[in-house]
Amino acid sequence: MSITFKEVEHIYSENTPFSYHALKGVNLNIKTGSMTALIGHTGSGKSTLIQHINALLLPTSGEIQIEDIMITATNKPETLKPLRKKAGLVFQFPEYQLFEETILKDIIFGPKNFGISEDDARNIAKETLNLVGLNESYLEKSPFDLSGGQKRRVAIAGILAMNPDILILDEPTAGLDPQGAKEMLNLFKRINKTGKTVIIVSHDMNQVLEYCDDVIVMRNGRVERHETVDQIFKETEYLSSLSIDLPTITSFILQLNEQGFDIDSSIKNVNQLIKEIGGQL
Amino acid sequence: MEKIIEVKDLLFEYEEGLKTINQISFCIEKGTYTTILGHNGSGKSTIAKLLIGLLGKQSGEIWVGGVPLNEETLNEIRSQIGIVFQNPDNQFIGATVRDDIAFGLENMCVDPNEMDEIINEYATKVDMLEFLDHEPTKLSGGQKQRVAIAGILAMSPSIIILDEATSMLDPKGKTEINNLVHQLNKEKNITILSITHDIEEAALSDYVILLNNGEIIDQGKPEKVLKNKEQLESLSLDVPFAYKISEGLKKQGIQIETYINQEKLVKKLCQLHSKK
Repeated sequence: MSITFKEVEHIYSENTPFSYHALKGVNLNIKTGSMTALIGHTGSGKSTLIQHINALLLPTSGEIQIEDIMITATNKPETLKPLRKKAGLVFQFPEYQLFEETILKDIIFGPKNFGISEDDARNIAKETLNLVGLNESYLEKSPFDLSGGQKRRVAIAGILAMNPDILILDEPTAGLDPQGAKEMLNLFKRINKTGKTVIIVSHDMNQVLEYCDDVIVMRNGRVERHETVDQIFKETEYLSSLSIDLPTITSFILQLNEQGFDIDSSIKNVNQLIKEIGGQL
Repeated sequence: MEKIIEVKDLLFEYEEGLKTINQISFCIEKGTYTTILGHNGSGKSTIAKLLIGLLGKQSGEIWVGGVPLNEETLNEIRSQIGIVFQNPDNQFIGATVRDDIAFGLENMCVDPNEMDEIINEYATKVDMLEFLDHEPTKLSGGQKQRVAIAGILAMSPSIIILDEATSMLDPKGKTEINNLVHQLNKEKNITILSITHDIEEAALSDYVILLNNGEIIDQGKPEKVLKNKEQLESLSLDVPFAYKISEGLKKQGIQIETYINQEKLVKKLCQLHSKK
């Protein structure tokens, strides 16, 4: 399911003294089944952009096409309900949004709102809980008795339970320890491999390099770049103008190359890099 | 070296029988940069709260600057320690950056005539002078943390505790804060205690304390603690990048020591390369 933005503008509080132009002439085409990173500074428009994909925000002008659904400034909210099922948005610190007494109730809240029967919803809850790496014994527990990382998984399960074709995540690993972050990203990669489109807002370039196919760079409300991961990390001067650090491995290779080594800077894998360095010593 | 923090057999339970901090002991020397490493839920933040008396210990001893921590000495000890939390939003009180820095000074009964000078001095130090009349909530993450640090510096603490102070920041904000903290440590001899799960930050510190389930698993210089791969991995922590590369090269038969510091590793590799 491809996502297309055509000349999308978004102005918050238009025609007031607080008016703020958050998206400026955004054109995009995100391929079905891709895993795309959205990067850029705080305030560059990333959050505004992702909220257009499930129509939490409507464009001030321009249009967004998601499969057969067209989103424009004049859409009525009820026509957009099917879209909420297609595109699942996970906010930062989603664990703050847990509210039910049991994990089961929390996960089936979404599907039930879309008219799925209690029994079916229960089965869906089991499946999605397994998908995020927790077993059925958790269904009757309170979400508030879990650790931070587990809570976040339950919150994500609640979105996955609606079986969205597009999964959008706003800094899903913020605050997690390295192991927790790795497990989370492997989960998204697995979901992506089942054919779903995944969009991740991230500040961690090591994650972008390791897990994503494409990168969208935003600055001051504009999409400045949309290219492959390999391509973007070759543009070192451009990235440094945005104060974006290179992935650890890429910057390490460049430091060695400055001092006489000749190593391909698109190497992503530590073992491959070790072989390459070894070969040049 | 003078010990500025001493902790002996410290025990803390949020619930009876559930030992969040289990009989730990450690010392921190004055002017050093120490990191406490551990995964989510290992008890790291609880230690910070115990050190400044936000939580009361069940048993054990804490000394700060040679003074034992108890109800009578609490205020004296708190005046020596500044703490920066993960989310700076939880720490702002003032309507402007200036008011926020002034808050701590007012509590210390600083003469209002001297206050402006002090505020300007510390706002300059963290490079936020031009933002003094801005609303703290409207600043970027990195700027907010710098204001929080200025507020703490203004009270001239001898120890600063950072409780995952950069984990919410974008890479630029993170670098800004890390540089500032290292500068304060070197130039003003302020003792730094940083609670983190960033292994690369730990690699650059003087002393590392490894925490798991409320117990100290290992402590010592990073060169010792961070070279124990099995131990780090069993604690859900990463291994330093330089370690992975140097160990991998060893396995290929290249004569090289184990490194944890990237800069030093690059230097060594370039030496080897030029000798070829």
